[in-house]
Amino acid sequence: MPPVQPLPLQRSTFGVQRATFLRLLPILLTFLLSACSPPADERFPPYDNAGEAAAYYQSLPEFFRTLSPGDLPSDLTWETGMDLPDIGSDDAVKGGNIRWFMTSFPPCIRPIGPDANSSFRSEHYDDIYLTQNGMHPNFPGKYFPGVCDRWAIAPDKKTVYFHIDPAARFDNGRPVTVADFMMTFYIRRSPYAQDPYGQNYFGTKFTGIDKYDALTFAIRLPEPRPDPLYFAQVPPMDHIHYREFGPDFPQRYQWRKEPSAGAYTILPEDIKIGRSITMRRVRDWWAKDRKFYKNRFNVDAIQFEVISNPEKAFEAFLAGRLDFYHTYLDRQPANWHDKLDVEAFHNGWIGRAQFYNDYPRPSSGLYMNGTKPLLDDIRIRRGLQHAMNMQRVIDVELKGDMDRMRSRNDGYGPFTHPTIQPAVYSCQLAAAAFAGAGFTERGPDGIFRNPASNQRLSFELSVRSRPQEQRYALRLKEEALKCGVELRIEALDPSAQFKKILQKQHEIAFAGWVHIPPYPDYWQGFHSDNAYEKEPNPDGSRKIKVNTNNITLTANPELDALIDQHEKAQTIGELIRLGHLIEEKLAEEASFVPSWTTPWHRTAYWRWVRWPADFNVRVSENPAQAHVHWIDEPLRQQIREAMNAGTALPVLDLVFDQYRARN
Amino acid sequence: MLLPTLPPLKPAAIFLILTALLSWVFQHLGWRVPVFKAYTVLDEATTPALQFWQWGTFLRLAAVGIGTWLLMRPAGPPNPLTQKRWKRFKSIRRGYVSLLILTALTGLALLDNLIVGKQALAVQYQGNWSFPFLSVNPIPGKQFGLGYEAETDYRELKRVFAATGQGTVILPLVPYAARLDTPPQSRAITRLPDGTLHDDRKNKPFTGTAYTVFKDQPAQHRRDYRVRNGVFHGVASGFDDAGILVERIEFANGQVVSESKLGQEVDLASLAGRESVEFRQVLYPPVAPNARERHFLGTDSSGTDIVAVLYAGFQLQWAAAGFYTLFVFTLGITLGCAMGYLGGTVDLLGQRLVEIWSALPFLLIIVLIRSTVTPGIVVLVLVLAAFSWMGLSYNLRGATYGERSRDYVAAARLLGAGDSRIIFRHILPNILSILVTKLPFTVEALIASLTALDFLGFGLPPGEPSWGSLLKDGTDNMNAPWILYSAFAVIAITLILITFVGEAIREAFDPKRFTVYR
Repeated sequence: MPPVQPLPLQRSTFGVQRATFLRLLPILLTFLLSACSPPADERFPPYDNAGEAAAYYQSLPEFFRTLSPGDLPSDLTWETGMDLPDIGSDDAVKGGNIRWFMTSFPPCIRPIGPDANSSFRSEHYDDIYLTQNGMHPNFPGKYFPGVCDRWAIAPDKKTVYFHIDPAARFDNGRPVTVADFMMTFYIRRSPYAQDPYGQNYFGTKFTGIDKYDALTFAIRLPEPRPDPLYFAQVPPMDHIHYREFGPDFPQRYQWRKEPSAGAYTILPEDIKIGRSITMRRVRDWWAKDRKFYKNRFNVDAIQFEVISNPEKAFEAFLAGRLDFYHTYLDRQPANWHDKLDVEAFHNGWIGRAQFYNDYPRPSSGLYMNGTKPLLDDIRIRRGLQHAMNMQRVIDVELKGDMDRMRSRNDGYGPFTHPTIQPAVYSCQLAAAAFAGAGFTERGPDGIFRNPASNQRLSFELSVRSRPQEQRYALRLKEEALKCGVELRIEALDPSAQFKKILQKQHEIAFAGWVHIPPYPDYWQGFHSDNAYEKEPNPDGSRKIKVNTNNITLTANPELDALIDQHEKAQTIGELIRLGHLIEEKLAEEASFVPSWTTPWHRTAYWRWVRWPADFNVRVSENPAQAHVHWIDEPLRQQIREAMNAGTALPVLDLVFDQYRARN
Repeated sequence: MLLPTLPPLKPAAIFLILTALLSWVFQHLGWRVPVFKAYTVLDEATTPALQFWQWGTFLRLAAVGIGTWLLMRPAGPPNPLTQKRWKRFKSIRRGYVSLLILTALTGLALLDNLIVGKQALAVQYQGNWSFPFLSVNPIPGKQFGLGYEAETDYRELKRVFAATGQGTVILPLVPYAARLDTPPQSRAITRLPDGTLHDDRKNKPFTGTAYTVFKDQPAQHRRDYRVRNGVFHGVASGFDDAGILVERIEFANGQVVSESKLGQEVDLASLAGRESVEFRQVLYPPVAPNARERHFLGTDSSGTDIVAVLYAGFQLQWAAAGFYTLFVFTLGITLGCAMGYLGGTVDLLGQRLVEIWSALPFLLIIVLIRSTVTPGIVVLVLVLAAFSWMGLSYNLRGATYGERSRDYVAAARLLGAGDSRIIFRHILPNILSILVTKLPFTVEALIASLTALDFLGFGLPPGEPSWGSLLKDGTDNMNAPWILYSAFAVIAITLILITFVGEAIREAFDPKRFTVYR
């Protein structure tokens, strides 16, 4: 479009120069036309992919197989999972609204495709949708029914058979059928979805889906897994809703809520662009009286209002405009300790609860690069482990709220090594380890020196340039100095630091990996495959492999053998045994200084938000994730009255440590 | 006569020469003597990349050179114009007093760890006196009978000597350093006669975590108690003298509910006998102002003493201001005078250069630099100076342009004077008032820019004492108002003092005063 220039005053019928008017005419017309017609219809002509999808299924006959019910193996043991205990509290009542917030308005409510992975996605999709089964949050590894009422695992542990509950419905009322599971593969493997991760996952982690009848199907996996049910979970995608899935998918489905079999939906009128989104409980939800669901998803509506600053949201919570608050209470202990020191809390109108959960912890800590000078000596690494005062960072910066991390894979339940302890901060032990490596005396500057080689114990510590992290680093530096170690802090932009680490250029880096259930992976981080290239350098030295997660450059043949066995392990017991052996070997390598874990989640809430007696479920990342809370509307009235009258109630300051990992 | 001959100049010249020579002597003796070590402060602040240049030697040579020149100048009658200006300046009380205050503050800043620092001024131990604040290298704790190799914690030493009477420690007025010095803080809790714990500050029963220590090991927690409304409530943890958790006691409203021993070979009875009577509370930073601990303005949120940060920040700003002014004036005078005096093509090209340079987005460049390297104070000041000389060069160009066409310049030229002689001996002294007037505002600009950059997080690396970072810390921790108040007050007062001086100088140098007939 040409830049619009100021209109010169000319003699003309319109008071505007004719040429200018003609030039502007198409623009004006465009405005007028777009104002008159609903944009959706204009931009998105009708589309039907039924033929396209069918052709796709036929083009991959080995992947999408259609069999008859008679082809089902007869020796299957079908499970229903109904013997597991229920989730949530029988006291829960349905009803009420929750007011909650989000820091920015989501760019879309599609669950997949560009920009879909916003923080709001977990609220409206990840915590809501149902797959064939759910993993019991209090008994990890045990499954209860989702949209399937029974399932069976083939003896080869590569195929899982499912039967869909005939009552299962999407929130638009359509029944869930095998066609919807096939649609999932069609969509997730399609380039139209513009989702490389999904395309890769659904393209490589499955070998096929077999349809036996409209409600019976099987999912095939490429290799046997100890826990095949976990890897066979697929969310059904309504094949009627996705009829228009095509090249313009990201735009066309931008604001259309995907029908899920879960409890909440978003109605078009509840999306107020830029301001708020409200999720509503599905009327006559098909699973509302089923075991495992009847005491969850209790709140009628959850309103997410945009409040861009979490601090401001906290003030809104204290003012009673939000019902609970848990954002950043873990990362900013000051909010928990100082900012909750208010009348409403001391008078019991606001309660707070700290719940010890059981979830894989990010393995954050100091990673030492074993190829750098000095750090290639295991005695130096061991000494450094003793010279890093993580406990002091925890005690002061984090107000003692966090637990010292013990190994690289904390929070994995039985897979976590039960007895490994991190090295304690001790200048004597550090000095003894350094002396073993020849660093026997302190120089005039107080730093250990090797009198033979005249080297100093001085290392570069790469941290991310976040103020908080730099302060942790400064404290480590102050304490390391006492043990005769100099840390030169290098604060880099987070992406620059990550790049440096993956290029294996760091000496010591403060970094962390997020881990996912169900069990730890050691190959990425500690196998020599990911430390060195197969081909050596021209001069015969080993060539460092970059862009892998082995950032300690660990390459130990014994460890490699154990990790290879772990990769091939077929049973849970074997995984646990090998995992523990690997952890012990890794502790000997001493190339990692564990920092701390947040072994709990915690929330502050107005007293009318009610929780089960055991507060929450074991495997949960935040208190609202499992939807076991409910709103007590009469109590809301009572507390409002108590507030007006200034009546104090007993203080609610709860700690639930039944799932706390004991050292 | 070029420079004003004023009474304080001769002593100043002698002071410069003496300090430069003595500082060289002290450096070779290995003493870091306040005042004299100011010459080497740039060497210490410089990143390794810039250490090719012996800043200390350069500064000393410059000081000796200037001092000698001031002393050797032919003495003549004082310049009446300069005397008038000085008199006029002194008559503007506000500016003059501000100058005196700033001079006093500068003198105070030179005293360095004589007044603010974590090293003791003097330690008397086993009959020997030593002066740790002079020492370049840290003195290990074992030298004073403390059982560690790390640098002596003199505050702890003082407590130990006070208890044992083994020696004497004299600490500076503010015994804290601005870098890497965040000691743990605690406070005693009053125990009322009825046995309940009382929070004196809030004047109500204490709620929180209280601890006791070992009588013989005051650094080691004996028990951590949870206290609610003055009485024990919740789980209390007991530790042995190695800091290992050995017992767990559950209280409810002051009464023991359950007790358990963790570990087989623990003698709880003997441990209990070693428990201190006093209850203490861990104070998490920021700690409020507390004269007993000599945190006169409290600590910031990382636990660093605020007085120490402000003091070291002032030193840093002052050193940076000198360096910055030198750089800006050199560039501004050279380019401005060259453009104004030579004119023609030089002027044309120079002006375009200045325009292009001025158009560069300064903040963006700082952000770029900051994202790739962590600049020290020298790099930061160089970058700031590189983007600040243009205004001065414009002024000087204009002034030179005017002076060039005056008769005295033509006369000098007729007498055979060369260009550089005309610029430096004739024109520059006549436009000196511009430089003098600009000086305070240049210093002010530097302090404001450094503070602003630090506030935005693009300035000095964390841990370096900086007013801007302190201000940011204050705005992030509004519930600890002493941080914000101190930082704001110091920044505002300094800038106001400098502005008053600048105003007075401008007034004193205003030519109208002397040309208007009444």
